[in-house]
Amino acid sequence: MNVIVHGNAEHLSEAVLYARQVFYRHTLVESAGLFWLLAEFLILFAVLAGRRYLETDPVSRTFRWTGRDTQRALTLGVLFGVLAVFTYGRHVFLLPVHAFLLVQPDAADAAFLDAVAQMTRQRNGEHLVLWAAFVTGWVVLEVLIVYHGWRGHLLLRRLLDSSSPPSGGFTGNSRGGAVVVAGLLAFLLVPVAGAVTALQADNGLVQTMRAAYAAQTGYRDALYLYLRLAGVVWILVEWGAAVILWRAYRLLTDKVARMGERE
Amino acid sequence: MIREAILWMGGCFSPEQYLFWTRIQCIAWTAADVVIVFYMLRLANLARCTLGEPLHRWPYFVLGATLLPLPGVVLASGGWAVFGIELLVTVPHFCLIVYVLAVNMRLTAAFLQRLLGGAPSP
Repeated sequence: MNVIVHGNAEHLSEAVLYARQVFYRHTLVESAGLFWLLAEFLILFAVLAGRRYLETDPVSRTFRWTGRDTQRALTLGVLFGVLAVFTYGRHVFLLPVHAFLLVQPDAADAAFLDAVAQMTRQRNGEHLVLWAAFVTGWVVLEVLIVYHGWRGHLLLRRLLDSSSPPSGGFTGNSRGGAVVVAGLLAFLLVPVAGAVTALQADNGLVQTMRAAYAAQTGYRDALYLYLRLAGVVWILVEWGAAVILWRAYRLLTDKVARMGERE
Repeated sequence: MIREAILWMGGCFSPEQYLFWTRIQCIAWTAADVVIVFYMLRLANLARCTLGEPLHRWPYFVLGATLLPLPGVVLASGGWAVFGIELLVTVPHFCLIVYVLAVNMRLTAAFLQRLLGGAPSP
C-alpha cells in the first residue's frame, strides 16, 4: 500500500471526492429504504382504517376519521420520524469519512491511514446494519398489511352476503392523492447525481478506503444472504396480497352483477 | 461467536449467487406488484363506474410504462443497475397505490353503501 506523500493536497482532495461519492451512494440507498418504509406505513394505515370502517355496525354512510385513526396515524408518523431522524441525523455524531478527511492536516502517516481505514469499516458496517433493519421492517409491515387486508376481506364478504337495508346517499372524492405522491417523491431529492458516477482516482488514501471496504466482504455477503432469504418471505407475502385483492375484485364484481340482474 | 456465524453465512453466499437470485426475486416481486396495482385500479374503477364517476385511465399507462425497464433486470451487470431499475419500477407503483387509496377512500364508502343497499345505478 502506498503512503501518501506528506503535504499532497491533490491526493487528499481525490480521497475526499471518493469518500463523498460513497457517502452519497449510501445516502441514496438509505433514502430509497425510507421511501419504501413510508409507503408501507401509509398503505398499512389505509388498510387498518378500511378494516376499522368495515367493523362498524352498521357500516357508516361515509368514511369518518375517528380518534383511533388519529392515534394510529400519530404512532406510525412518530415511528417513521424517528427512523428518518436516526438515518440522516446519525452523521452529526458519526462523522462521515469525507468530513473526517476535510478537517485533517496534510500529514498522512501510517496512524492516519489506520484511522481512515477503521472509520471506513465502521461507516460501512453501520450502513449494512441499517439496510438489514430496513429490509426486516418492510417484510414485517407487509405481513401486517396482508393480515389486516385478509381480515378486512373476510368482513367484506360477510357484509355482502348479508346485505343491510339502504342507508342513504354518497359523498365526493378527495384530491389529496397528488399531495401525498409529491411528498413521497421528495425523499428522492437526495443527491442522486453524485451517487451514480464512478471515480477512478487510485492514490494511496483511496486504496486504503477501498481495502477497508474489501475487508468487510464477509459481512456484506452475509447481509446479501439475509436479503435474499427475506426476499423469499417478501415474495410469498406480496403474492398473498395479490390473491386477496383479486378475490376482493371477484367478490365485488359478482355483487355488482347481481345488482344489475335485480334491476 | 455471532461474528463467526455471520462470517460463515457470508462465506456460503458469493456476490455472483447474490446477483443471480436478486434477478429472479426482483422479477417475482415486481410481477406481484403489477398484479396488486392492476387490481387496485380495477376495484377503484368498478366503484367509480357503479357511482357514475369518471374512471381512472392514465394510471394504467403509468403501470404499463413501469414494465418497460423490467427486462433490464435480466441484463443488469451488477447490484447497482438492479437497484436503479427497481427504483424506476417500484417508486411509480407505490405512488399509484397511495394515489388510488387517497383519491378513492371516501368514494369507497359510497360504493359499499350502494352494494349493501342494492339501490339502482345512476
